[in-house]
Amino acid sequence: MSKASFLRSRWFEDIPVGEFHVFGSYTLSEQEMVDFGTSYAPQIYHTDPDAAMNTRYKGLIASNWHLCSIWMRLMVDYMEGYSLGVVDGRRNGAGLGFQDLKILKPVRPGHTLTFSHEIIDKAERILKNKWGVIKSRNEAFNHKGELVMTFTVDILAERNPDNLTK
Amino acid sequence: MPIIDCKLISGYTENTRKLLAERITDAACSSTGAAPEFVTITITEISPNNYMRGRTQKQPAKAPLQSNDIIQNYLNAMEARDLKLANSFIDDKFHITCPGNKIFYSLEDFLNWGKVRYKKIAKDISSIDLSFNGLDAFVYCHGTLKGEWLNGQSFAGIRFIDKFHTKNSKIISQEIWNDLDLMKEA
Repeated sequence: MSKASFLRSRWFEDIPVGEFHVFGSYTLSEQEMVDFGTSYAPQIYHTDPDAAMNTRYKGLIASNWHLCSIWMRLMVDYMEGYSLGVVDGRRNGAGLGFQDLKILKPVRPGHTLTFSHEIIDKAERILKNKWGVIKSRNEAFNHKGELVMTFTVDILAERNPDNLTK
Repeated sequence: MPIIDCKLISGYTENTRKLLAERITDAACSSTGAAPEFVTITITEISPNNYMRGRTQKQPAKAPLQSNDIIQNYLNAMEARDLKLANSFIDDKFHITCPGNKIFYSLEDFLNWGKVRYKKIAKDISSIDLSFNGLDAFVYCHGTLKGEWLNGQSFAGIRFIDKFHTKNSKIISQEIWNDLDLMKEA
């Protein structure tokens, strides 16, 4: 069994609290911040480097939603790496929602963020006699090692059928 | 005064026979309380022509790479950031448990996590100790860490101990304890 098969074939019961993944690092450019801001967060501190100098942020900063979108992209790419060549994709279900999104430091052009994902809780409840719920803490750290973003996500994970009511 | 005679099919290297004698000595000392100088080990080699099991003559198996050597090679590869080589020492189910009960399943993730904690890090190893339970070996490596924080300040003398579980010449798990986070806050 390969590493990818081992990780992807686990049931809810096999996944430990504490499991830790690093989705990767990403460097934001000024142009990318402006493009995202112009399309989805049209506030001058996300769209206009000069005008942003006169705001309380004293320069361009990335939108919260931009950071979340980068997290999403890195997460999918990372998880796809584990699913390559694996037919059995039973482990993951849908996301049930985000909680407690916090942006703790401004992210500026040229900053490199590293995104981590840690499983922090496994609820006892069983949904539709099939799914368990796994809570993860997701964080982004800048190039100085400072925490800049944090939120939690609940996702479904399939329970071992041998442990469910027949 | 234990006197232990081992019969071995001939063909094992001198190093393997010496290692066997050392470990039998240790086993005798720990189980009987005898001091090493009172434990005598003799090895009698038997020609494969004079050795038969299950109606078949046998040849000696190749001695495995010793667990302490596996760990030393793995740590050297990790310090050199040679992930291809480091990955060759680990089992598919390998995981690293770090302080705070963070469980990593890939060496790449472990090294990437380090990038937001320090610029570089290296181990000064005081000793590598072994214990066994059948084919399972447990390797304890301890010493101090040195390196450079992200702000450019250097650090040294930070205690660590790593416990490794190996089986069939592969590393199954690594458990890490150290004072890195305590020293960072200091």
